[in-house]
Amino acid sequence: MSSLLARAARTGIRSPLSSRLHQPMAAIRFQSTEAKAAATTEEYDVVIVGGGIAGSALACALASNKASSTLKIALIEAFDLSNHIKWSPRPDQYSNRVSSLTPKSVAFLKKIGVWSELDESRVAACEGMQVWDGVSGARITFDAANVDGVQSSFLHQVFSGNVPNPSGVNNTTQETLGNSKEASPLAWMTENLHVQYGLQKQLVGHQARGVKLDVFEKTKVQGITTEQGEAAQLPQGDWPSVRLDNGKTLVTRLLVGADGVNSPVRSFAKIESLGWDYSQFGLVATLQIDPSTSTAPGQGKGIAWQRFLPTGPVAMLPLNNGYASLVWSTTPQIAQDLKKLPARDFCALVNAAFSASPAELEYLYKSIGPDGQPLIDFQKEIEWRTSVHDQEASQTMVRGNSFQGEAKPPRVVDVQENTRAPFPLRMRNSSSYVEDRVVLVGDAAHTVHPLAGQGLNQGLADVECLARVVETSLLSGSDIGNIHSLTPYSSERFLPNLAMLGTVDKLSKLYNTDFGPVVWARSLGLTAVDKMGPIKNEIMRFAMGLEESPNRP
Amino acid sequence: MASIGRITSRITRISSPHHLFRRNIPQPARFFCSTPRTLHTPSSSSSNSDKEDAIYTVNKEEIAKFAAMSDEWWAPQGPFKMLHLMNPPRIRYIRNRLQASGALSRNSAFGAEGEKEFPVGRFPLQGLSILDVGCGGGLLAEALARLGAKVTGLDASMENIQMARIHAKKDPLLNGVSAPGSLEYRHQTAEQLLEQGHQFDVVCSMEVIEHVENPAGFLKVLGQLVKPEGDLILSTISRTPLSYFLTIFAAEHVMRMVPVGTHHWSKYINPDELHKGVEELSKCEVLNIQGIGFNPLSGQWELTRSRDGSRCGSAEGGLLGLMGPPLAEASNYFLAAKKPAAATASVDTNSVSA
Repeated sequence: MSSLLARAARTGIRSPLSSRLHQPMAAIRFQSTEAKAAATTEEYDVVIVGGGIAGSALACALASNKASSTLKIALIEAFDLSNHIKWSPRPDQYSNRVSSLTPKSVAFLKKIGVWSELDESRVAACEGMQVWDGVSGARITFDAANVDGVQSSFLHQVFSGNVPNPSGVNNTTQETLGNSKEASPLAWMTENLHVQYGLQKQLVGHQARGVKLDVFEKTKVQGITTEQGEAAQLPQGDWPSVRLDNGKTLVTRLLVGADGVNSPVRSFAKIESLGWDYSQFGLVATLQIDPSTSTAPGQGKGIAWQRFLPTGPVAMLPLNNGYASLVWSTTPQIAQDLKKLPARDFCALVNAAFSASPAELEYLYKSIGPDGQPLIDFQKEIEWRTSVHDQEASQTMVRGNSFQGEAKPPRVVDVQENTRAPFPLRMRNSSSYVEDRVVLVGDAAHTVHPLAGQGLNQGLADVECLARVVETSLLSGSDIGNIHSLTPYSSERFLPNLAMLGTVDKLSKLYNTDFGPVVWARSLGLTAVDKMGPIKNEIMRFAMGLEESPNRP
Repeated sequence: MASIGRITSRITRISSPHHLFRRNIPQPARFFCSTPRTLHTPSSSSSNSDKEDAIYTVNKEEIAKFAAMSDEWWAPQGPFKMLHLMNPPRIRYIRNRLQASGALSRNSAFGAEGEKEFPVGRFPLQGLSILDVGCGGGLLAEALARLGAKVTGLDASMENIQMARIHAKKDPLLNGVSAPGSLEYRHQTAEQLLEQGHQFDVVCSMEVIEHVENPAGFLKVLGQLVKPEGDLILSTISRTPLSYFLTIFAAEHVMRMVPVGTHHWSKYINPDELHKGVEELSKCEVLNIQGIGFNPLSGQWELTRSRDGSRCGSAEGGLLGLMGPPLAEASNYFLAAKKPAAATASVDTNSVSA
């Protein structure tokens, strides 16, 4: 046996995982074979750790494909998934976790049957985007009309036939992207819970029609090994073995880590996660708005507003029925203060964040007491300041921070109770997405600053790609857990994710400053880009998830 | 009692490799040994009688040798990496040619699942008997068996056969009740198999003919192993400056992707020579010749355009799919042929498979 070990040690270059798999071989071979454990050990083709959107979507994608629906799949989630199916929100309440789904994500959700499960009245089409610089006032406007131009772009022609086809929700003015001259929404806003609801409905449906899909909810993973007792009893000793807190052990051909930023699966595979925490927090909240106060066409219906402030971007994403979702990236201190501020003052401050100058905002932030109590009357203060702005604006032609001649976002009138929640912002990318028999998707593989709203979309793109790669492997008789079967996933997803992470990170750094030359340069850039149709189209394509060559056959 | 424990524990210790040699080790034996196990951990076993250990050592070394070599065949980044990467396009080519020749529609298990390019069902080869001559570590044979075929893997090297068996044991899809097809490895030559009267729906021999002593005799035997109306699928390398550059200079000497001495350029066979050989010696009608090349940009092998201009099997795209003959066949290429019906068949047509 020692000669075997020596041999293993001599054998060329190995990945960290495979060397770990091979070295303890002595331990495997000489393990005592306890018969009792065998009863609780089950064999799977795919075990997905993490029943969030990425994990559930992967289960759904595998189950909805003809070839991969023959696989035996397990989905493990620490929380209660069945709650999602019972989800029945009041029409006047929205959860604070809202995502903007790109056309590509929507096309994927349609393909796996999830989109049709969703409630149309809770999906808002985003037809326009207003992005401006809080320091200089430079602005860029994206609207559905720009997408029309995308259709004749060179890239579009290269990928024609592959452009996602995300119609079906908004039947008012939009038709599908790709077969019509009319514009398609840039994105669709909906609550993460809503997507989860659709996913869980589909999963139950797949189970009912006989797909071998086991969902272990309210179940935690206690440990993942490749060499411990139970696995050694099976011939496939090098398969990962996942020990659950319900006493079961799942031995699997392919282990998928969809288990978030602190992925235990990633630690098991000894894959490094590279990146940093921003000294920033994001604050989310569900807002009630007064659409009549917006000066944008159609009272700003379906427009996403984003303003870059030196402390970070603040964004308001459209929901239906006079609601909007707030994502405000700022310093940890301000985020905590904003959470504690009384609702009335909070709303006033949100309105100020979209209109007041950075200097004024600095003053306003300092007027929040240590326990979140307002030291001034925010509403009065801000009304007064706005009136001064308006006067000035009517007197002087150019004033960056007022809305002279520019579309104005709607006023925030209320914030839904208990929807304000701060969370730390970070950027991570795993050094690799695959190891032999292990693959990472979604936040386990990469975490992005939320300023472009791309995190969930990247996760869904991962899942779409992985499901396709698994299908291809099955059709060519490959072992779906083999590293060579998984490499195409890694090479297709790693660079686009890295590019997105890099772009978003650079944007964040670029805008988190009020240093003069940088502000001047970025404003010039923003204004210039706004004037240059083709470049703007490509930016939009990227943001809409059309950046890569989609589905290969 | 102690000696029984020692014996059974020995079985357990070597069980993983051992039961690969004798394929059906009694299941209960593996569960007996839990009690005396502590006496027989690797360190304490050295204190046992030398006589017994001496007998054991022989096996142990054999096992270690096979296990270590099996490691090399299947090590993802090992010397056979290029063959691993070539496997999916090989399977695509085989599926495609079987679809084109009607072998898949003859196969009742497959039925109505046909779609435009190739069937989407997960086990499209169910019901077909396939012989893989020169199976090596079983890369192709395993994939064919996972697609449902009754596969016989043949190799002249006992070591290769042992490695292949060791590896196949690890995958439940290749063994036992859940297996969609079957997989049997034989340490035999093609001639021996023929003498025993075996014939197959499909005979494959991938990258083998350039390694055999007598290619003409080899082609003759392969032809006889194919059932009437069955398919013969070969792949090999053209004898061109390009193939010297790619497979010997670059792959062996510069990139060290495969061990030096793997290939002998003078034994390479050009498509036209193989075409003639298959028609005259194997008595099969050549239906298709298609090149395959490694695209360093994608890191994948890609099928090129075939002689009839079709790109079937290269539908997944790739730059090399744009390339047509003769350049496309200047290095690695496939050839598919079909044996005519009855009359010429001289051997007993009953296929035997495990």
